Amino acid sequence: MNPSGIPTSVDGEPILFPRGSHDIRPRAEVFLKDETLQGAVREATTLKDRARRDALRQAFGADVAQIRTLAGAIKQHTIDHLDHYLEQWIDQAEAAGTKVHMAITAQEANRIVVEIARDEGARLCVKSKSMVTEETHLVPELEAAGIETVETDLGEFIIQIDHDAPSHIVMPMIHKDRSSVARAFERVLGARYTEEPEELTLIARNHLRQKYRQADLGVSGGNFLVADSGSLVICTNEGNGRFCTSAPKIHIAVVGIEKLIPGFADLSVLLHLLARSGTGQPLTCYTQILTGPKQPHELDGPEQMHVVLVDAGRTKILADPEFRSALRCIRCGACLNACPVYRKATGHAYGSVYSGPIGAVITPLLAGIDKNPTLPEASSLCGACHEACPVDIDLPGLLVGLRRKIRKRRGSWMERIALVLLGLAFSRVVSYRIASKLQRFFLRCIAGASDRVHSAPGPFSGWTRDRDLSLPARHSFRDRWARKGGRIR
Amino acid sequence: MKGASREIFLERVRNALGRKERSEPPQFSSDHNIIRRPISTSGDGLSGRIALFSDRAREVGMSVEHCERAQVAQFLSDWISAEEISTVLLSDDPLLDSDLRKHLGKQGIEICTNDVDLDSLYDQVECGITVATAGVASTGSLVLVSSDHELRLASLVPPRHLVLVSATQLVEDLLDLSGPGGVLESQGGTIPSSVTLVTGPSKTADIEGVLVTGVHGPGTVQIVLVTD
Repeated sequence: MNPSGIPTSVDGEPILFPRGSHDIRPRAEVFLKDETLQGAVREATTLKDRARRDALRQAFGADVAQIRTLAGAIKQHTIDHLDHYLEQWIDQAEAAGTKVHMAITAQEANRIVVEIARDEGARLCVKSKSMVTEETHLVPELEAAGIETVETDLGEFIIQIDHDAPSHIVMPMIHKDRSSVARAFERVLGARYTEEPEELTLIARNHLRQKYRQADLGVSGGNFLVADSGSLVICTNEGNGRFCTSAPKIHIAVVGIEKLIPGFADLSVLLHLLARSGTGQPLTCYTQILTGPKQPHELDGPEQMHVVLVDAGRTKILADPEFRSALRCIRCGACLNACPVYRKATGHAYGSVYSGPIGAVITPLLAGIDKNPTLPEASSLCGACHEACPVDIDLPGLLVGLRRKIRKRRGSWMERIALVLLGLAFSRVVSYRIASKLQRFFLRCIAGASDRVHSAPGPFSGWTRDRDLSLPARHSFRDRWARKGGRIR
Repeated sequence: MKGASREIFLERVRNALGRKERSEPPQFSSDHNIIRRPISTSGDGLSGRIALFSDRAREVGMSVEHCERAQVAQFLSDWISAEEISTVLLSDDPLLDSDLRKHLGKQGIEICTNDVDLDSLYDQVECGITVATAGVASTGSLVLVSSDHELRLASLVPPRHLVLVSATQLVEDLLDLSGPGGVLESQGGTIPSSVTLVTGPSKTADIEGVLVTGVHGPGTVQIVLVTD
C-alpha cells in the first residue's frame, strides 16, 4: 500500500478493483502528480486519436458520419431485439456443435468455466485478452481451482506477472514503461535485463510458445456474435488469440450478451470501424470467425468449443431505455483516447475494468450507482467522446442522465433547494436578469481587487477547489446591446 | 449445458425489453453498401481488384508479388533459396503440386506435410506455405479457411508465412464474403469452423507504443498473387 491507501503492485503501481465504494477524485490526484505516467498516456492517446481520424478519413471521406450512423443503428436494432437474436444465435451455434452455457451473474460465468476445465481435467490454460473476464475476475478463480492460467497478450502477460491491472481497453499497459517490463522479465522469467522492445517481445514469445504447446485449455473473449450463423468473431493483432483458439483441445469463449449482431453484412460494417477507431488499422491483423469446434474432415482445431454467454448486469441496462444505448459499445477505446479527463486522470483512477467515458457510464450501470457515485462527474461534457464513438453513443447525454439519477438519490437538501430556485430564476426574463445581476455583484465582491475568484465561500467552494473562477463581464451582453441602440425583443 | 437454463436466461432478456413472448424483429432495412468505396484509379473489374488488393496489403506490411500460374513452382523455389530457408511446411493444395516438390527436393529443402509432428512444427519449420481461399481488396486481407488440406497452425506457428492467392478469388469488399458463392455464405450448409482474415504480420505496440512484428504469429507475410 502506498500512503494514499491505494493497493499497489510490486512496481508501486496502483491496481484496480477497490472493494466497496470508491471515489475517482483522490485516485486521480495521485496519478496527476506522476509526470512519467502523464507523458506516456498523453503521447499514446494523442497518437491513437490522430490515427483514428486519419484512417477513417482516408477510408470513407465525408461518408464517415453516415457509416457511423449505420453502425449505431445496427447495434441499437440488435439490442432492441436481443431476445430474438440471442435465441437465433444459440440455435445456430448449437447446430454447429458449439456448447452454449448461460451465466446470469459474473460468479456463475466463472463457475461454468472452472467446471468445464475440471470436467476435462485441464491443467494449463492459455488465455487471450478479454474485458469481460477482467470484469468477472476469472483468472484468480481458475488458479484457485489448481489450473495454471497464463495471459498471452503481451500487455496482459506483463500485467499478470507484475500483479498489476489493465488501464486501457485496447492498450492495457499504457501506464507502464519499458524499464518496468525489463525488471519484470528479469525477476519472473530470469531473463537478461534489456529495455529493447524487440528483445523483450522475443523473450515473451519464447516463453509463451512453450505454454501454447502444453496447454489443454484456451480461454478467449469475443468481439461479435453473429446470429445468422452462430459464429464468434475475435479481433486480435499479436496472434495469441489464434493460438488460444487453435492449439488446445478445448476452447472456451466468455462473451457478454451485448456482442450480438444479426448477420455478416452487419459484421462487415462494424469490422470496417472497429480497428480504425481503436488503432487506425483497416482491420486487426487477425479477424477470426469461429463457428463450432473442428469438423470431422478438418485437420486441426479444438475438439470442443464452449461459449459462455454473460449477463452480469447487462439486462439491467437493457431494461432502462434511457441508458440502453450504452450496450452498443464495441470496446474500441476511441472515447478513452479522445477524452481530456482520461488523458489526465488515466485509466486506474476510474477504479474499474472499464475506464474513460464509456467506463464512467457502464461501471455505475453494471456495478451500481451507489458504489460509483463520482464516476459520471469525471467528464467535462466536451463531447469529444461522442464524436469519436463509431457506434454513435451519446456519452455526454448518458453522463448527464446518470448525474441526474445520482442527484435524485444522494443530493443534499440544500442542493435541491438551490436547483429549484435556479430553475425558477431561469424560467422568467425578469427573474433571470435580477439573478444574473446579483451573481455578477456577489462574484465581484468575493474577488475583491483580483480579476478571478480564488476561493468561493461555503457550498460554492467546490467550484474553486481545483481552479479559479473567471469573473463575468461587468455588464451583460443585453445591457451593452441595448446601450448601443440594439433592439431587444 | 451448465449455468442458467435457456428459458430462464432468455426470459430475463425479454422481460428487460418489456416483451411477454418471442417476437420477430421488424426487417432492418438499411443500405450496407455505403461502406463500399469506388474501387481504384486503375479501373474496375479484376485489374482494379488486383491493384487495390496489392496496395492495401503492402500498406499493412505484407509483401506482394505477382506470378503466373505456370511459374508458381519456379517462383517459390527461387524465393525459398533467396530467403535461405531450409525447412518448409507445404499445405496439400493443387497449386503446390508435385513439380514444386521436385524443385525443392533438388535444392535440398526439407519438406514437411500436414502430418508434421508438433516438435518439428514449433522448432524446425521456418516457413508455412499455404493457399488462401480468397482475398479482400478493400482491406488487403487474406482469407484462410480450416479444411481437410490445410492446418490452421501452418499459417500461425512458423516465423514466416508464404501464402498464395488466385487473382480470380479476390473480392472487392468484406461484404462479398457472405454474398453468393462467398466463403461465409451460410445458406443451406455449414461454414468452415475457422475463417481467418489476415491483414498484416503479427504485431504489437504494447511496450511504449513501439511497433514490433512477429509477436506470436509470423513476423513476415509474403503474398504470391497467382494470375492466369
